[in-house]
Amino acid sequence: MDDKKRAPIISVEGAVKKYDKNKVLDEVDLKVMPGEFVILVGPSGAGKSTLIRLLIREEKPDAGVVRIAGRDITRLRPVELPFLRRNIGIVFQDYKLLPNKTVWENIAFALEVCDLPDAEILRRVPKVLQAVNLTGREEAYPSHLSGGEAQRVCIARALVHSPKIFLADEPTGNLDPQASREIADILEKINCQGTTILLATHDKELVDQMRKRVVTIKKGKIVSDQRQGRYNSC
Amino acid sequence: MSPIRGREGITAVNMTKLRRIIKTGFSNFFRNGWLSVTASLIMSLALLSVGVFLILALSTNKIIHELKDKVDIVVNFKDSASESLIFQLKSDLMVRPEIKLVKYISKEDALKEFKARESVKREVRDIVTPEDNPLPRGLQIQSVDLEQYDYVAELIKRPTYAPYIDSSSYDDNKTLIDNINQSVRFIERVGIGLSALFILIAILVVFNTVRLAVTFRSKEIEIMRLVGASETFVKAPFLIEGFLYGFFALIVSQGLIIAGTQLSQKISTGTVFEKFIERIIPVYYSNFIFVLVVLAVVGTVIGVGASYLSLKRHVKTNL
Repeated sequence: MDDKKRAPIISVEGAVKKYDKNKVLDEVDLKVMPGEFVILVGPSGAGKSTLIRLLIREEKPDAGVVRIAGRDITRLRPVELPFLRRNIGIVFQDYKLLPNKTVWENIAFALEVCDLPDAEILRRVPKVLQAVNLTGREEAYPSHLSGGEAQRVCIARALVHSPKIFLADEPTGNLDPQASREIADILEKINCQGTTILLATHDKELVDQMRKRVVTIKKGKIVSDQRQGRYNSC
Repeated sequence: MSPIRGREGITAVNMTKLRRIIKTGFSNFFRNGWLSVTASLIMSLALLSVGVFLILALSTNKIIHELKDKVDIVVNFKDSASESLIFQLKSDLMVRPEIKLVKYISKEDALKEFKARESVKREVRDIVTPEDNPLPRGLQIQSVDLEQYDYVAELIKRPTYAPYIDSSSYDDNKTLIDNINQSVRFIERVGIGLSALFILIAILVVFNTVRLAVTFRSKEIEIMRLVGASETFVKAPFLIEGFLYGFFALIVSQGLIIAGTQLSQKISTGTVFEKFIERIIPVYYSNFIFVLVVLAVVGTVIGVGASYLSLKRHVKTNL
């Protein structure tokens, strides 16, 4: 049991990813333990997003191994992929909400396409809406939401599967400091409930406030990995 | 934790899934509006041409069958021909398994038949008597297949028989039969050609419609994949849409065919086409279910098949 607890939930070993001879990731090694909160920092184009795409098998590495909960996901068969993704919540800078669906429908959609029964959807959606402080906004359309609200809908949608891992790729990229702080608070709350979080950002203020493990990536290589790091420490 | 669980089994889950897939397919079909209308209409044209061709083919087939039973060749012999020569020709003809029946008509038979004809005037009928019978002996050949005509023609032109043959109905019938054969072949070629052309166009249109629909919904598809939608859930609604193109095309094309039969009946009254139309329409109604089933199958295959090909090409679900 102890051994299992100590095994990393995310383990990237020697991952290399090239786009037309351009090395975006160069022998990246990263281990994240269950329940950890890791902030991935680095300038644009450093490879943060590519690393996240490897973790959800949107991309396959050209070399190396990516393990989630001990399983090498580079070898997953296509039919197994949906089950991987239902266990990983993910949010993006651009929210990726469906404009013609309400807040409620956007979240319920994530459950519908995964074949959950209606009763279960009715039970889960209000819960996650409450978790991100959006109770009362169920009928709003994405175009009527502020950036912070939209991102919280996105978080709610990612949370609705109760994922063990939560990936956030520049979630505060389009938000003002106040809204960014709210998002960070929600992420910390999620983390407190035991969910492993990997947050990619270049929001210096946010990183410095949070005092979490900071992994810095530059030109496709991990250049520093600090417990309770700061943005300028890289 | 085990992030990768397999199998969702229970029937309730599958029913929910099926209901959602069908619902999504329907709502996408109606959301696409003009795109769906265009695809359905083009497909209606394809089904219409298949349907019309099918009905024409069934009609000509029926007409030919009727003709086959009616059109015989009668070979008449000169009086100088010996009985054994006539029977030799008969056995030569019977060599062909396709030729079912060759009947020898003696002078007496010919006379009996002649007397029985009502169209023959009384004065003429009385001239011919058993003692002075100018009617020739003959062979009546019931040809099974129109193609056998050429064989018969070749036989009676052989030097063994030719000098003894007085006349045959071969030449009279040949023109008629050639004409029918030619028009049947023409209808077949034009029908197959047109149907193939329209089917090809319909496939391309559905293929492109689905491609456009995929592009319109690329964001939706991306989100579906990210939240862990199963591949069926991403793709199946498009197949339902393809099926719907076929379904509406079936209704439209059937409607057009039925309207066409009514209209052509009215228009053709009193014209040379009247007889023709009169023959075709009952053939359609007696084969209604058959035509419907063929068109439904063609429509489904085009709609679902072209959607499937388009999805295979344009939706990258997994690496």
